[in-house]
Amino acid sequence: MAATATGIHHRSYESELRLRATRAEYFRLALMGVLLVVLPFVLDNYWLSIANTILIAVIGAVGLNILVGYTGQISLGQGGFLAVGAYTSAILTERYDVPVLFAVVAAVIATAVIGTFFGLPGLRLKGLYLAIATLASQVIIEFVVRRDPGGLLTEGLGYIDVARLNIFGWQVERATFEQQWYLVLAIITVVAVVAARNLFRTGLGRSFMAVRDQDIAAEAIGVNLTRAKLTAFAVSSGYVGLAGALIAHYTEIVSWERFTLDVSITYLAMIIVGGLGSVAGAVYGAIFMSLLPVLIRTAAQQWGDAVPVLKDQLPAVQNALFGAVIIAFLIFEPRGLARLWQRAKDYVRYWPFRY
Amino acid sequence: MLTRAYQHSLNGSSRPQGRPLLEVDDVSLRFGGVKALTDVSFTITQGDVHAIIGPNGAGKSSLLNCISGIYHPQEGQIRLHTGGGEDEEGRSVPEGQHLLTQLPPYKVARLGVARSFQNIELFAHLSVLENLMLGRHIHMKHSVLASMLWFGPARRQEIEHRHLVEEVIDLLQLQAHRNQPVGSLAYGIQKRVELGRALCIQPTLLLLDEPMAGMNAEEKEDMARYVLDVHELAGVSVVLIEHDMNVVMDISDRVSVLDFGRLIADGTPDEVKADPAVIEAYLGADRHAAELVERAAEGQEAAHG
Repeated sequence: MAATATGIHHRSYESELRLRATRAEYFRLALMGVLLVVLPFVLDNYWLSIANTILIAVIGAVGLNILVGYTGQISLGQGGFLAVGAYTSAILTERYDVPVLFAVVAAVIATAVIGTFFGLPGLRLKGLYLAIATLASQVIIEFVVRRDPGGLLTEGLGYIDVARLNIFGWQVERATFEQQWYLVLAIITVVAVVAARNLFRTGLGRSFMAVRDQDIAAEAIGVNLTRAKLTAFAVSSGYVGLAGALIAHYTEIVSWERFTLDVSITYLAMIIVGGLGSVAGAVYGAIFMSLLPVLIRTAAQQWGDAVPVLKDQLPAVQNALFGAVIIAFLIFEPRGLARLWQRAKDYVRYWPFRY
Repeated sequence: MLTRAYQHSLNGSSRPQGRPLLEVDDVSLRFGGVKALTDVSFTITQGDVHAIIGPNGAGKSSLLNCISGIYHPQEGQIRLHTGGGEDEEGRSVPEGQHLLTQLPPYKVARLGVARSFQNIELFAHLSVLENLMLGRHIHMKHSVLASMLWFGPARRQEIEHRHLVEEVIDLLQLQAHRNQPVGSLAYGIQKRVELGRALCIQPTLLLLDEPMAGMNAEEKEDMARYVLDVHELAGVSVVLIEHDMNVVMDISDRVSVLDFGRLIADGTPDEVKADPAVIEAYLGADRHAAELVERAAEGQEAAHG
């Protein structure tokens, strides 16, 4: 049970339903806002590009958590759905001259539709069996984008070049590329995260969680399981499609290597490490898992001469640490970083008492 | 203690008192070669507490599962009657009839047939409040965009339904547990939350599968009191499966007895108590011995009376 500060007496349901109640919570929120605004002015281009990748990963991880953490439907198809979003948006802008904004919206819808289709096995399968079924969606989509039958997707090139971002005449410049992208991504990510947070304080989000916790009881109180599961697949895939489309326009190139099974597993790791069934957890997890390889690389550059193994075997070290982190979280805090953060807050609140 | 005035009627049925509400008509249910229910027929009347009793494995829970759509019987019909009376605002509601036998559980629930489970089936990671709000699911509108937007219809709806949920919390005295995750609550309280979740549906008919199983005498008494409150204050018709005969005979208006999937008796508690078939089912085949026991019990009662 999370600690609540004493002395909060809500006088109305409106005030009780707010996401934040205490002054400390508003202060933290303001701090976060300031951090987000200040970041592009203090970071250099290298770190800003990492921040941008993290922002995109946050959208994808939040989307995956809606499905896996909140609705309890395990999905290994994340990479494939990212590909659907990326290819849809890239093809629409490059080949059909659709404005970026509309192309991205179309990508979201297309991914939601395809995600719902591949969610159909979820109506019959649970747990590991569903994981295998969604793995099939990953393999199928990956196969299609890799083989590119008849050059339908890339016109035989094997990749799609995407033009520099231009939103109704607002052109991203080469010199301020990362800063401008940061602005775009930060706005979209904040909106996406808040929307997800909102979803889970309404009846629809609750019905997802009901399906996760007790599907028979959920049906007995009038939740249409078919509809709830497919809606969850659609919403989740929509988020992932958005992330995919943003990857396409941000990296300005779309090719199949970016959307392999590895990506699916990385995203799954993000939400496990961050905290299943928590929007904040997905954010923390995305940040943590995106920063981990970067930090290891930095460490290798720093101390590579003293510990040659770091430098010589960098990819192996990265993979090993990646695995070790996941195992450590599964053993010591299965509810992830979100729970750790909660416990830290509780510790401060109850201090000097233990509970 | 200060409580709010109840503004909402928890009874979702617009049937007049004493009219048939649910008709179980020649229902047979088989699992492969096993006959769980054979030609079971009885009627549940609006305004009754209707107990279903029987030895273990008699088919009580199977019958409840047939009513709530989880099982579909191979033969027979279960009909729910609606209307014929007035709704909350005093408008008259036309009579209607729904065949429950082929409906999926969520559609049965949407007709207002609410239930609790023998083994608690709550949403363990959610708070009491969220569990009860889920009881309002069928009365709410669920749109993805409105939910994500929060401000506007979604928030208004949450607050609107919160009022009824708070009344249920008051009725069942769950105030202290409102924000606790259900999984961390004591067994007896979980049972109460489950009753509450079913009540939030504003049931036309409330099915309770052993609401007092595994409780001590005191908890049983509390629970019986809550069930009576639901019945008397809220006017909800209740179907109750229970093993404790004292409770059953005390609080029910009508009792149906199942044995080996067959209905062996159906009547008021006193009629059922005196029914030789029931005595046989409960006390064994030796009728003579059973009568002796019965007579001895009566003698004792007379002596003490």
